[in-house]
Amino acid sequence: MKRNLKYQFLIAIISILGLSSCLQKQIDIKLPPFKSMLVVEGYLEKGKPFQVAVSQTSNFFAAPDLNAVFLRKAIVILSYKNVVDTLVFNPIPDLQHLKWFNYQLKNKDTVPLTLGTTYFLKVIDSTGRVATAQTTWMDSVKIDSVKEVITKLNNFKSDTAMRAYFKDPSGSQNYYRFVAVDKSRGDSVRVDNYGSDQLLSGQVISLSTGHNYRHGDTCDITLYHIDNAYYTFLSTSELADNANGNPFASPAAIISNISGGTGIFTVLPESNRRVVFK
Amino acid sequence: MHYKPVFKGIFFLLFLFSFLTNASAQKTFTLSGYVKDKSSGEELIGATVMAKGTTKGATTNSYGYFALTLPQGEYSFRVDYLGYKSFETKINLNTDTRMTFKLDPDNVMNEVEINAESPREQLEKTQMSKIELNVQQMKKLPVLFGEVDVLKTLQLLPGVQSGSEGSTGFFVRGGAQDQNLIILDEAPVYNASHLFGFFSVFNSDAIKNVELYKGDFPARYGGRLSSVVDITLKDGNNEKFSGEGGIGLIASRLTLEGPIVKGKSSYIISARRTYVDLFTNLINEINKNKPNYNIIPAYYFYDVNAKVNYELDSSNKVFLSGYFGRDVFSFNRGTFGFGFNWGNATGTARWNHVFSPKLFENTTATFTDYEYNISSTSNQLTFNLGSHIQDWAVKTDFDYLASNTHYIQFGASEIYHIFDISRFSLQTSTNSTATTLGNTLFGDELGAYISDDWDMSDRWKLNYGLRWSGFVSDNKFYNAPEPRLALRYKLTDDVSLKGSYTHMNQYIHLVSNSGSTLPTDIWYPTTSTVPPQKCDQIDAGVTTVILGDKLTLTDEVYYKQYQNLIDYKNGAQLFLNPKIDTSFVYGNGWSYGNEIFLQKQAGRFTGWIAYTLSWSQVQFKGNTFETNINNGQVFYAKYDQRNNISVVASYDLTERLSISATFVFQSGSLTSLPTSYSLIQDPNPTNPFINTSEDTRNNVRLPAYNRLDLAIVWKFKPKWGHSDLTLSVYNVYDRLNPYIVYINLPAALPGSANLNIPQGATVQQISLFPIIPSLTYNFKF
Repeated sequence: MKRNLKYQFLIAIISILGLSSCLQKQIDIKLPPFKSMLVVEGYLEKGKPFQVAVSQTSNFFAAPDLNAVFLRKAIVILSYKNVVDTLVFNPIPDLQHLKWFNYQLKNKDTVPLTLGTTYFLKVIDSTGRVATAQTTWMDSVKIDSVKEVITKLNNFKSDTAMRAYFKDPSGSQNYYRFVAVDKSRGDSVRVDNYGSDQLLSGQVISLSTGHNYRHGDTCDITLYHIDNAYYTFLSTSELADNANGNPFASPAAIISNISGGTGIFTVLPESNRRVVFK
Repeated sequence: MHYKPVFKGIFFLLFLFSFLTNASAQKTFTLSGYVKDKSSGEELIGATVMAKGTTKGATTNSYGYFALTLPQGEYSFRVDYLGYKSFETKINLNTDTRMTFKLDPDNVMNEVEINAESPREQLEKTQMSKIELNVQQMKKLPVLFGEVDVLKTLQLLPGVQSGSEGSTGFFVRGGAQDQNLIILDEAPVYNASHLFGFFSVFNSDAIKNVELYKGDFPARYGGRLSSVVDITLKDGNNEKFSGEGGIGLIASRLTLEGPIVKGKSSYIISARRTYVDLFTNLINEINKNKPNYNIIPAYYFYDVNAKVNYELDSSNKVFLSGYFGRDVFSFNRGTFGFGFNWGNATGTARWNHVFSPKLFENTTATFTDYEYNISSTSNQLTFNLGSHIQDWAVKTDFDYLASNTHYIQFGASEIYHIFDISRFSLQTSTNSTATTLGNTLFGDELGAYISDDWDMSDRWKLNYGLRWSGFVSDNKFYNAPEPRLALRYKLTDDVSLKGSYTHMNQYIHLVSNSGSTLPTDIWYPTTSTVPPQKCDQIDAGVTTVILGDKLTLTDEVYYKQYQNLIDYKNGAQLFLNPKIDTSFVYGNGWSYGNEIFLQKQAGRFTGWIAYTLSWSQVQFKGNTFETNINNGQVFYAKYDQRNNISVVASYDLTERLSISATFVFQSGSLTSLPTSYSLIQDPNPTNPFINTSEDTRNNVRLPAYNRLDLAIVWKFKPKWGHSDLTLSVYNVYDRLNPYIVYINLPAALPGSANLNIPQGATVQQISLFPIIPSLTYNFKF
């Protein structure tokens, strides 16, 4: 992901001064009160059941309680064209991946996704809070080719990576999320980047899977073609993460497309490749 | 457009002043000339020339020149400057007389002079909210890493708040950092710091004088809202070759100066460099063949000051001076290389001309440039990113002694700004991809002013003036009148009451929310879409001398009101954004406070106590979530600080041994912390992450800051010159002051029944500097 330069400066300063150790301690500080907001998150993906996570913003220091964070008695409605679907509560969290999309379409149905169709989501919780959002389906951008790259670092080390190439559609601003998963090492995520075509509009763009792959390794590459709302949500979330007390950081309010709450409702057209390192 | 009424105002003042010249019917003559250091020939700024037995006197201006008009007669004149022996002489003033007074340094006196102005001088002037530093004496104070720093000494003064721990960043009376005009030999310095703000770019060995204005800005200054730091370099010793320097913990410095033509012309050259990189390079070289060795990045900074001057005749003198400094950071590993360098360059050409004893002129041409460059190369691609701001300026200033009660100053200036913003280029090794990005903007900043210092009576003194400022950029012309008014009423011989009003406009902006200016912060001009920042400031205060001139006490209150303050909108994208103005929001601000300053300037025990009680608030109202900061409510600015106390003391135990201490207490500064979290599941296969949004800015006040520093200076017996050893101990009682405070969220383990809900969240504090001793060897010959 795009790194915040200021945060790197801070690390550099402390490293140069050699003063990073023994200067950290836990303190008590009074945080201002906050008003809890609805958190809504849903992704429209081809061939995957549509599901939504409905939760609320919570206190850092409260005891961990799934029932206080995830909301059970919400009404979740997806509508598009002339279709109106109400999602049902899914009582089973995914403990392996630490996820809980707690509302899903009946029978884990998928949603027909067509170019230019706008999808609307509305959530009403048991206390009457209402959150709404909308998103429009786009075409995916195809990964054209992949190429193995070996970089010699010194006499002892060399790095092996794979580069994926794709052609950025011209004429509009495009945003991408690029994920590379190392299947050979327990589905570990090697690369998870997002960015825009601001500097490379209409050009062939190449992205790396990350280094240090070995002979026989298998890597799954996914290129998501994302919309501006999701790009903004990801980038402002990252800024907020960097800003947590960082004196050099930029302003850090998260910008969400959920009206009446926070979170994200977006489409994820994707292109995939599986590569095996030879 | 308001420029016509403004010009009319200036012409009216000129018309009025033309009568002032002839207001006195009595036959008068003018004593004029320079006051200089006898041993070096350096002109002394702010020295007083008094006619004994009268209340009439003059002060040398920024170029060491004075003029004093008196009725015909014989007078005994006394010339004073702190740190020098007083000089007295009798002159029969029956014609206009030109004199150069040369003062002997008072080597017996060993005080720390934080204010080079004498107590009586402070009483007499209308000028308030101004402090002069004597840099040579400042070297006795304890310092971080042994590096004497002008800007860090300023932070010990009332109304001046430090940025973050150990940083040279400062905020004056609730104003932002870009509202400080820092000028070095009349050229502005846009980024006055090395090493990300931990050291200033000013080498104290090369500096002659430092003046800080916090309010009541003289009409000759403009372009910034909150302060002026006017730094003058030494001219160089025109009597004999001499030098000074020091060997410190992280840097060494050397200054050489001497006559080119004795008594007429001199030079000075001063250089400083850090040497941590020499050790890290050596360590890298030793370990380069170890398979798992991580290379240490190299970092160093250096700066060079140089100046020459030549006295063409008694009425003409020319100066050339320059500064060049760079910070260099580099990292190279295999085919990967990363470089980051930044720095300032300034140049000044100056001509002083005395038209007549009563009319002194200074014309200056300056150049200044600040730039940063980041470059990275690998076998895949090369990229470069940089920005710079460059100024070309001319200005002329006149000092005119219209009569023995009117001292008029007038002048004009023009600055041509060039802003090169986020210049970016990227190229792949196969040339399959190449792109460039960037934006260049221009601005023309204009100024004209006139002011009169009017000695109305023994008790009343008035300084009134008008500055007109203008700015042309992006086919848009802004201009505004900037009235200046200052009044002094002498309640008794020992007590003066003062008040002032100023209006200021600022046409170039640097938006930064950090405690120190960073190399990558970008200056941006006023354009058709970015309005100028404005500020009205009212000050009132009392100045008094007590205990027979041993102590000076000033108490000042101020109120400032700002318009068009600039901040970043929520979600601002600053990286690779050449149109950074699209990320701005505009608002209003208010700051007010009380500053108490008690000084003891003479004797073996010297020092001061500075106390500031202040508030600073801002408001940014917009139509969208992005522009409606903190829901459009009034909130405390990042640099709001309620109480700030500095105590500085120095005591000469013997002629060779002195000790000094500084103690600082500051109310906690503000930071922005998230108050709640939200769980974001994220699409497969990545784990969910926790969003910690800072829903309000500056919402948490950190614990209070306090620190004690000590220093011992041991002077060696003079041999071929003078030398001393200075032991400084920073943060003596090892207080861990907050530098960063953040919320720590432990990651959940796979299979956790509570998913990724934070458990065991804590608030962590990182401090920067524990107790740090340092030793510096200083020499002078």
